[in-house]
Amino acid sequence: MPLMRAEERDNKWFRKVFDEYYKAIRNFVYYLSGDLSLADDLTQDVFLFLWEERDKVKDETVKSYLFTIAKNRYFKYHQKKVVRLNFISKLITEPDHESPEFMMELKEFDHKLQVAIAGIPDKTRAIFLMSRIDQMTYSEIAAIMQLSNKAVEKHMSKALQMLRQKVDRKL
Amino acid sequence: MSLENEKIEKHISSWRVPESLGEQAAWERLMAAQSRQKPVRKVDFPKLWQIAAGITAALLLVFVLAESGIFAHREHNNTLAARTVWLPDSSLIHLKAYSSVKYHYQKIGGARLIELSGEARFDVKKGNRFEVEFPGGRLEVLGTQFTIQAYSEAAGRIDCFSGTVSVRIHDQILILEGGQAVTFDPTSIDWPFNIDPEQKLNLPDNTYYWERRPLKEILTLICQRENYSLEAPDWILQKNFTGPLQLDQPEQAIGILARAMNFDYQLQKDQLRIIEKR
Repeated sequence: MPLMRAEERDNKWFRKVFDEYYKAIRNFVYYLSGDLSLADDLTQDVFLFLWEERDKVKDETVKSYLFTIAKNRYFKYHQKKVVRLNFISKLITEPDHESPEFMMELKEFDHKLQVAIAGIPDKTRAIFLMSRIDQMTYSEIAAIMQLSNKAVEKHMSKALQMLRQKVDRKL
Repeated sequence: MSLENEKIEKHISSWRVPESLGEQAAWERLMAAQSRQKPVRKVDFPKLWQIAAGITAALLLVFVLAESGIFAHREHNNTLAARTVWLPDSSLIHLKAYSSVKYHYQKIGGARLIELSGEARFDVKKGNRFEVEFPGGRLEVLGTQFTIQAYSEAAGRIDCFSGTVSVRIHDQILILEGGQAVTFDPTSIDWPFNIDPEQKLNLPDNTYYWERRPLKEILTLICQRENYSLEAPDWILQKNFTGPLQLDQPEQAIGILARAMNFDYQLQKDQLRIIEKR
């Protein structure tokens, strides 16, 4: 079998990493910022940086490397004072024969929940959403965020507690 | 988990981040951005530094090796006739039979370092430090003309014809002046005894002259040159001999010695056995 050229090998590796982690990184930036165009642009920057540094990055650490670059760049250059989230809820977009009144209430609850979650600290929010939307385990989140499992658990319960307080007040 | 928590979590689990570009379009945009970047890879300073350090270390190693004499010149004389070796500073080494010399000049300090195995006469030009290492010792030249006989550590001799040489043998430093000589073996040093430089310097090649020197010294030299092993009673070896011998014909020289000093000998298979005359 002919030997694969280094550049070709790098390109294949890069595409594989992109396919595997693009969505997770974009979501992560969105959880932090609530800004879709920033999520697109910053994710691109993170992958461009990875391409530049590809000789130094090992396969087993590439995931946490990407998250760390995204996190550092966001907090250093792009941190938002006010975050506005606009998630799409499957319960609303794909209703299951619900009554119009119920749908109205659901939309109102969804709006209040998005406002409430935007109001909790960035890191806690990102951890909470990675767990609940992206279905990441506490260990995965701990590795990405360079925290202990215990610390992730604390962020999770803090997020839930804050959400309950904010949503209860608004209801 | 309370109902409120359950409701919140269920609702959040239904959320999706809105699409904008789409993954394929994002990849194409990334590739376009990548191609806009400079094709030259970012200069990797740590790597450059490592390369520079590697080159410096290699040069340093070559320099240290050169200074240690690993690239020294070597001359061998496997013939009976003496050979003249000219050193770069015009000093002369008359390399005698079955002898070899290795020399190099240090870049720092310019010391002239010689390693000798066998026998050689040196005519040293004045200049930087001139050192000769030989089996059994080391010599530093303070003058000009001298001979070293040192085929092995078993026995050796240094004759100083003019000037002064400083010799280190068995951790002793001996200063020999013109007209003085020293002999040594692993257990003893005999010095200084007088020689006639004029007579010695005018001897033909392979001809030696001894003035009341023990047979041990003469027979050891013959055996070292010819690679014989020597077996002899001490009392015969202690006898003193005076006279010339031509060592390019070793058997003839041993015969002359035997007749002059009244002993018999057997020479078989590179073993010289000296026995009392019956």
